[in-house]
Amino acid sequence: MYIADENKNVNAVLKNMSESIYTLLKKVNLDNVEEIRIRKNMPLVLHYANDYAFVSKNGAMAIAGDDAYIVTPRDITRTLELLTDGAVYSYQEQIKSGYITTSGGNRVGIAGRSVINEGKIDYITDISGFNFRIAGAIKGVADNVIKSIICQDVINNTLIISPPGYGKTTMLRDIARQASTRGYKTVIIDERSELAAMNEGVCGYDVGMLTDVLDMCPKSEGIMLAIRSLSPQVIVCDEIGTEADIKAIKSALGCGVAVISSIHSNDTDKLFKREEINELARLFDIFVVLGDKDKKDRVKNIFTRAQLINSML
Amino acid sequence: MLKIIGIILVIFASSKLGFSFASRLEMRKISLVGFKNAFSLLEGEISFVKNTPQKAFEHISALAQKPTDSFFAYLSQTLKNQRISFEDSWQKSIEKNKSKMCLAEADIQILKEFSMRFGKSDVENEIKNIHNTRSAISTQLAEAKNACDTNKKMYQSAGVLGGILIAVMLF
Repeated sequence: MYIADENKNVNAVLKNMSESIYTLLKKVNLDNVEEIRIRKNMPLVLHYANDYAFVSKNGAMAIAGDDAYIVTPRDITRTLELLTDGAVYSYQEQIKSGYITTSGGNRVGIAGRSVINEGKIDYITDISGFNFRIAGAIKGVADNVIKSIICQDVINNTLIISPPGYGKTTMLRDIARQASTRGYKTVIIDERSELAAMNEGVCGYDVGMLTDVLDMCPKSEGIMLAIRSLSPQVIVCDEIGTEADIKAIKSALGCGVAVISSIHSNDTDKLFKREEINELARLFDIFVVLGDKDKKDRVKNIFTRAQLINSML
Repeated sequence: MLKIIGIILVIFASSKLGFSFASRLEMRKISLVGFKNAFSLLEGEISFVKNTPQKAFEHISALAQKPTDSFFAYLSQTLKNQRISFEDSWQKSIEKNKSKMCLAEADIQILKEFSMRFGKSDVENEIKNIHNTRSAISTQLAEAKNACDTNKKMYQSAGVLGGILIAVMLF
């Protein structure tokens, strides 16, 4: 049974937008909206699972962009000010990575001009737009997969494979909650503050009563920290892929700690042909592929490592 | 009898006026020292903890001395209302507290310029903004100390002597 969190964070998202957009969107029905896109001098757009709509100047849905509310440069400036609590310096590292995570665990993507220093992005300036992703906890979204993950008191190391926007974070969040509810000491390494939406030490989502959260902590360091000081039985983290991540996961597995994580991919076949992912795949027992937008849990396929190896032969 | 009371009242009122002008000079000096110290604390809040302005100034208001403590307390309280920008909150706080802090127009201008730049850049540039503002305040503080040393006693004496002169002329 799927229970959407009462506080789907829409209000938390809206209060980070400029006054004009905030006033406008308060009049609009935002049920089922997954993203709100604000682009300078372009129409205000709402994205749903399989559709999109413009918002007109009087708060109604507009089919054509001509009738839509056009985002002004002032909207962009004011939105950045609100997103950063008037302190861009406070969000410098996140802005470098192209996003800001708000207090409700909502990730806001940033589009703009990158300032490069020694081949790396130092900053993003001349911001042209924001993508507000509306996060929401859906309790029970992991009901069908948890039976494969926790089997006869054994937690299988699990990798969630998903394209962007298919609920990977929502799935991980519910897996953490369910593992914790079943009595397992769970640690979430919440590098981008999306899984648990911590705010001044308090979780914004229900991630279980036996769960510790390492907020805004890089995954590789967080995993080692958790092993040293939090005695986890399971570690949950989002979007692994670097060598440092793989090394940390191996250490965790070597200590008998189960790891449940995720990776971006549109095509599972191509994914496992990559050498570095091949190495990663050997560390996990269960693979959950998300991609079916017609299903509530978006699960397309679940397979074991043995099945993966067979399919690759 | 009435004459004596009148003389005392005139001398008292005039002296009070003189002392009041003198204490304003003193208060300006204290306020500028308060701001200078506050900016040092702000540098730490930004460079080490990267606190938001609301939290940073809340911490600073707890450590600041009178009269700047009420400036920062009002500022952090205003910043809790998300719908007001930092610049507007800062200006509001100046308007509310400027008479208590006895700041000169030049002092207020420096503080206003700080608020126009604050919060819009990375840590390095924020620290530069703070250093520049501290430097400008130091210059104003030197001028305020000079004015205080030169004029404080003069205002106090003028108040008393002026009162005596008026009393003599009237009575």
